[in-house]
Amino acid sequence: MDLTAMRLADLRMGLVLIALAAAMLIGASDFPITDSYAGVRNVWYVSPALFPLIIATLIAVLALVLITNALLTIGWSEAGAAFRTGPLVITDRTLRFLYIVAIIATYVYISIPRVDFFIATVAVLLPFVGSFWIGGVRPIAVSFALLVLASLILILAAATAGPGPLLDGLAALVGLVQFTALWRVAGNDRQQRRRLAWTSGIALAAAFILCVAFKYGLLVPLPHQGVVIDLMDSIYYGLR
Amino acid sequence: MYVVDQFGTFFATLGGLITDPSNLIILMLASLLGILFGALPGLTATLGVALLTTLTYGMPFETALIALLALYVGAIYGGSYPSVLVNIPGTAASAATAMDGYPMAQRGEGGKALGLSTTASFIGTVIGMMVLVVAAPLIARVALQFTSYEFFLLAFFGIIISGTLTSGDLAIKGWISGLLGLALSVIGRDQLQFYPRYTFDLPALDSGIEVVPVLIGAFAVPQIIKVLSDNLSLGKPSISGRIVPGFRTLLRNGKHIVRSAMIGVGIGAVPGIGEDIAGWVSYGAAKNSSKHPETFGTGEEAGLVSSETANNACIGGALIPLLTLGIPGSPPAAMLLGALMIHSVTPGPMISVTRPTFFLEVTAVLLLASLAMWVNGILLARQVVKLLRTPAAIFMPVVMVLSVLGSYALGLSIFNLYLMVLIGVAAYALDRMNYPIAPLVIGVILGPMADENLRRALLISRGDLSAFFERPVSLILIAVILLTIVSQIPAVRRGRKALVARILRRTDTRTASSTNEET
Repeated sequence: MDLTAMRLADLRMGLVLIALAAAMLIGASDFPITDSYAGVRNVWYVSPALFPLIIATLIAVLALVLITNALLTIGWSEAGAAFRTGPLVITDRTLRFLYIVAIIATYVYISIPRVDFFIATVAVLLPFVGSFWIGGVRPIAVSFALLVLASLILILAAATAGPGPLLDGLAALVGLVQFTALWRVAGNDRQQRRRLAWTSGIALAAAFILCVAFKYGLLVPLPHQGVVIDLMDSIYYGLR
Repeated sequence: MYVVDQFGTFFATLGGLITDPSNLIILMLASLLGILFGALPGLTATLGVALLTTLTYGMPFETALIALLALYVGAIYGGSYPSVLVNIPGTAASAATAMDGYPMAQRGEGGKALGLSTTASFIGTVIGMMVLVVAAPLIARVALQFTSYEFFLLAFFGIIISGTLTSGDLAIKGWISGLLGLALSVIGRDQLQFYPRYTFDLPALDSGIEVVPVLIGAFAVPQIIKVLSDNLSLGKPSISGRIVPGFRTLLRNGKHIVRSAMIGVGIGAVPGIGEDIAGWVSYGAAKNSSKHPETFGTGEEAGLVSSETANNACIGGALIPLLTLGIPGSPPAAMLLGALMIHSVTPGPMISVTRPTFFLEVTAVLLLASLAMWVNGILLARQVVKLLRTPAAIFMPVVMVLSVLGSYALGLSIFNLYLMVLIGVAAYALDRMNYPIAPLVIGVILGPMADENLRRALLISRGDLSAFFERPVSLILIAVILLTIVSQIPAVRRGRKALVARILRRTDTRTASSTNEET
């Protein structure tokens, strides 16, 4: 980032920090400062409000310094540029960033609490590894579009049917659809198709090793256990 | 007699550790894993320790300590591989290593450079370990005299100094980062009255924000985003020439090694700043003290040796405040603090009372870890380099899954995962605006200590703030904090630069006039 862009970002961040400090101060004003809590009379120096008030005040002061420094560097006339929105341009890098955040968010907020962990992990690794490994922007754009659709479908299914074999199957299906789309994007490029073949092996192997290591090695229950984990349990405890 | 007893305990501890074959296997594997974590861009020592913390949760404490320290030592050294071979530092700690390591590799001496780096890292770790074993008991004895006043000011000092020294832009960005960490630490029920603060009536927030998910979120998620967004690739690194330990070269550079080790330990002991700064400061000192500074940057062995010795000596230094005061000296040490607490070991002044042989245990494990690192580095370097060809597109998504599992496994809470992602995205945004993340992490870790000790101190003095100025150590800490803050004021910085320039001009004038008199 060049200096002007950095200072414009500082201006915006300074305002965010002042809002945060204000929120903290307002929240802390509800904490007992001199009134009683749990039958104990408070004084200001042992109040639970003391530390948050100090932190919030310091954040506000430093935010003002940040804003002042930004204005002194770029000048008042340029300050408006911090809030001007130009034409929306999505660069390759921005697209990659959005896709990564979206796929992590879908995995953590939608899949993990409701879908069998093995299926959720394979369904995320297939498009995640595949779209970055075959290279270029088109696989990422295609995967991103399909991911948005897949997320909506999963949210709808989770809201109507709830966790269970149906949702597990649907999650596996949307993962496969995204991966199939990548095969189509790869076309006849042998190197890309080879990489996608390896991706399927890596996704399955990684998910399997992690499930086995954590569940049976470290005895950590997985976030959500569905059809595949139950099958693994039957095999494991049947063999024992 | 005391010294003899200590030696006896040290060797007994060492013997106990190495006679268990499972300890040796874990030692070598963890060290190799650490080297990989250090070598692969995007994976850091801090992330490695964070992820391994989950895996060692069910192990006995001694085994867990071996695994964690072996990974830590290996990861700091491992960053030198891509630095030397492809001019891309594996970790920030090895950035200075690339300055002379890469030119050496370019002229066909890659093997020699790696061998030198391995042995220099080994020596650096051992010297750091020796300083730790001497200094830690002394500091712990002094720290036993500390009261709430000193602990509050120490926590505050840790955040201020960490913010000042790690910020690439304005120092206040580092301080803001630290304060944001403190703000996060306030969430939950307070320790003195159990009053819920900023919990929004969510039971999941009652116990506050857990440290490990915050650390994993703050370090893993931004790295995953950065490496994949920027399409980082190491290409196809390979090693030219034999990998030799380079003992003769190191003997020739003995004074650089000793100076670099002392710089590394000193910088490591300062809370929050770590191996990356140690590497650069040591490199700079070696260049300035050299008779031929123009050779630095062209493949000068002293440059490589200085950087690698310092960044590994920093490990011992970072463990000093961690073990004696409970204040981490570097980001990986911060993660180690979390790991130790999970194993019910609370570092701090009382550790010398509750576990009298703890410092010697850590020293023995550090020695084993450095030996394992050296053996892995000399024997397995070529195999490690082959693994470096793994594309980031493969290992970063797997690291993401591992980070998710790691955050979940420690508390079995899905809510921790939600927080991890939010904090991770926020940390990425802060990083893009040049806010350092280390002070934020230090703030989250030291927040409860600062809060509790402030209120306890004021309870003792019944709200009288002058009590902070009546204790000598408190007074010193207040003075250092104020000095650090004042030194960042632009007018003061300009005045300091002008003063230094005037002194240098006078020195040049005197040197020139004495040269004229001689001729």
